[in-house]
Amino acid sequence: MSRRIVAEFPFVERFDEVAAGLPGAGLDWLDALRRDSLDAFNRVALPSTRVEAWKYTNLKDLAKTPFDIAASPEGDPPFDLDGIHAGGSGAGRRLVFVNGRFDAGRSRTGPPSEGLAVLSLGEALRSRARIVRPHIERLSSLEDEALLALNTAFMMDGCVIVAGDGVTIDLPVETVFVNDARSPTSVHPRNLVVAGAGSRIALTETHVGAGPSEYWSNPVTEIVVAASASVVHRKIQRESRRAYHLANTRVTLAERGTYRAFLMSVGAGLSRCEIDATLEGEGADCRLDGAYLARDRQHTDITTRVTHAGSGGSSRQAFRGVLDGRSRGVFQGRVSVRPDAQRTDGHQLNKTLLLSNDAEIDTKPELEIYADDVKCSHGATAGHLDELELLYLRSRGLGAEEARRVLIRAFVAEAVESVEDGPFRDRLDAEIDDWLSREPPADAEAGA
Amino acid sequence: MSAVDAAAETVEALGESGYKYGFVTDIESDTAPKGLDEEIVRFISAKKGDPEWLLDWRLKAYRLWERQQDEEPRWAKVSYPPIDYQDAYYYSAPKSVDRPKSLEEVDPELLATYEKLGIPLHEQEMLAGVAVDAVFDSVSVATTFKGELEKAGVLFCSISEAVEKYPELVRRYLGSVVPYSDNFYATLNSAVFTDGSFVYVPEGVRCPMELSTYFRINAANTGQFERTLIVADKGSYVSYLEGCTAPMRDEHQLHAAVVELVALDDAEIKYSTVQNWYPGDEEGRGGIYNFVTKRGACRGSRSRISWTQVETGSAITWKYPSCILQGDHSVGEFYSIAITNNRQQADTGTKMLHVGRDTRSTIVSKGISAGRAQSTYRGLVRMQGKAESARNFTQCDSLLIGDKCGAHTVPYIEVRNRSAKVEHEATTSKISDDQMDYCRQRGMSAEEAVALIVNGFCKEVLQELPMEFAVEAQKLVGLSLEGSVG
Repeated sequence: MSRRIVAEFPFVERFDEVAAGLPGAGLDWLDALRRDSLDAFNRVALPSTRVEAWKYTNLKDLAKTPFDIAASPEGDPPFDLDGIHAGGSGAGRRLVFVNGRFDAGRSRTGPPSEGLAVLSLGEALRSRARIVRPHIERLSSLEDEALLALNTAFMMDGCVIVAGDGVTIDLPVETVFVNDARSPTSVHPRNLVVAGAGSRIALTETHVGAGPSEYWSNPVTEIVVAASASVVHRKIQRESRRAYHLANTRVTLAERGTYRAFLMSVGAGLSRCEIDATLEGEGADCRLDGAYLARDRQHTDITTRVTHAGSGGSSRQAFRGVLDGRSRGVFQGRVSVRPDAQRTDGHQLNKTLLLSNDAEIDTKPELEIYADDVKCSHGATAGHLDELELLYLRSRGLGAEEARRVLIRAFVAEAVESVEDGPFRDRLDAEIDDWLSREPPADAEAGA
Repeated sequence: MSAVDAAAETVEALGESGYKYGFVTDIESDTAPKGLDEEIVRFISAKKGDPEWLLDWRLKAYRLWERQQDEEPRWAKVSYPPIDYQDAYYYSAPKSVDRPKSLEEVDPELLATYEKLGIPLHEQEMLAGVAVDAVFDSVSVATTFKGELEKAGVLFCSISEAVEKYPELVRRYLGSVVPYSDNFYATLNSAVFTDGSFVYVPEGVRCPMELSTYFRINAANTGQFERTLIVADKGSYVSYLEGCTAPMRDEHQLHAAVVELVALDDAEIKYSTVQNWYPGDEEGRGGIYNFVTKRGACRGSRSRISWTQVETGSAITWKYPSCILQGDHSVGEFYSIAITNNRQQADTGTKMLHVGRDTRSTIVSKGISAGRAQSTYRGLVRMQGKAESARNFTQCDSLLIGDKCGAHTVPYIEVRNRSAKVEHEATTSKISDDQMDYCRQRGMSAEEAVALIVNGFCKEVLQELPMEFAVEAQKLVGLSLEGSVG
């Protein structure tokens, strides 16, 4: 078995034609970068399960699907966008992308404000290429990352936030990615967040999907956190069950920069959310939390890599998963400490609840440590609902199903508790309730 | 002096102290020509007087290995120049091919070698409890306490002797836990293995003494391909000790052993290893490559296999003693200390495969890295679909001494049964200045303090060792890091 899966996607074959219609077409540097990235993708190809990082997530079904590039949406997508909003205020800036295209009509980029730019990538390439270009070029130079290369070759619209030094955004910037697929199509959103020294930014990212067809979402989000800046990043992945969602988030932190992420993954048939954070400066602080809920034949992969390159950095990760039906969860988390990253504090925890005997969790936490003055740890658990706890609730008059839900709810709640933003936490609670309400009765599931 | 400085000095001192067991005994070897091909496999087989089924098995393994030339494992976190498998000898036996019947018949030079190693056989015959099947290069040359074992019905001999005397038993179990196609090194071993130990404990017998083999590698450029097979029949118990030292030499030596354990209903096997092969000089030149496949099958209900290892030697260690927990209510245990210093590299851990219901496993791993060494814990815990109510607990701790070394933890946890419960914890830290200061204030030297702290760090594993080994292992832990300072 080879380490690579060679796929023949129609949109890749039609590169020249497709690229002509993508944001920034005609910019020499970008045209060249897209072409180089296409070559890189063709050279590297999709990873097979022989590649260690992809041991538990198999892309062979994706590779067999004849994906083309997503078409412009026909009519209104079947979504109540107001229902998806984070924050509940409806007052903050909002960028909506439908099938990879910026939907100005549904978006609110807000009034111009000093030192702050919130705009679509297409617009940024026209008006702020000088700021955007170095970041896009730097990230695209990474070798061996097939999905990243593919995104660069076909990058579609996305959200760009550039905050000047000391700028604070009061309300989170909401980004919503809507996919309405009528035939097998792919979208490659590209987001960029640049937080200047001492600035404070929050953004939420929501991915939703509908439509009768399979589709493939391949978003890349680059986040640059300058000295003493703070970025809060929250994401809800609620793609359609027919979707492949393969997301890459790349974060770099300068000295004393902080990055807080929360990821909730409930949708898609196959999803993989990769978060790669490098703490370059001294005293940087990174926190990644999240929850994943899966059932039926869903496959949910969360892969994190936290690299401590600067000294005195600290990282915390806590993920919780609930798996039912024939679903499979994958959690891979690596904490690396480079030789000079002394006084590093790095901790990680992954807990999984298995509700069915056909569900599977594959966990691979990893510590890679080349400095001695460190405190690093990881923990992982997997198990079923506690029989005694169930009995306790039953003996107090709760029905079997209700008792079960209370316990599942409590299990996931521990991950959600770390979210400080009340309105967003309410949204997460709603997602969990929604997931639980669709749960089949315990008896039917147990087959007893 | 800070903890780091003290520890660094200690580590330096060890380098200067050199390797206590470095010497070469000059005994004329009966050696096969260099390289490996089908003829060499036939030569080895003929030398060992194999029956035909065994020759066939070796040839099947060799042919597979030949096809797998590009599949030498590369996933471990170790690096070394490519091994030229054709530039090594695959057979060397002490000159006296006829098996000695008593110690008097043993080559006096061999006996002198054991004296230097601190294993005086004469004394050991008198010491209670330990029977020694001493392996010098590839052929067993002395076995003691046979009489007493025979009385209990325990079969303990070299694997070649077992092939000759108990062919049915060997044929039934050889390769049943580690098939010849298992992995690159196990395949190589299956083709060219020369010797090793065989133990069979009959139903209901508690082996009256701890069984022990001391390995020695001798004869320049000879890889060692030991094959050990231990079968514990229903309700029996055996404790097996394996300990090794090796003489100093310039060229790397490959050691690819295979150990297979089989525990039937209610049987228990305790396998303890102290590995102190030559680790190479300060730059890592000349050390042993230790690429070993060790696996136990808990075939019977309520059976139990326990691996305990203290790994301080070798330039490179690639070793994952594992348990296949097939029998319901069976138990697997892995207790490990891996100490790496200078340029040593160790990628070691275990696999616990839970197949049967109510199976339990415990993993306790302590890794200590010093100098420029790289130490990796790599382990797999898999709960299969039918492993109802299975349990695992894993604790992996790493200790770093000095800022040029690395410590890595790569656990794989795969759970396919909801009633299974898995808990994994791993930590990495250094010796804190507080701990050092506390010890120093009470009049200890820096070296004593490091030894005390490291021994404390390893305590949970050391206490799993049988008495005979515990003392030696504690000294070794000290020696590996302390040297002869002051």
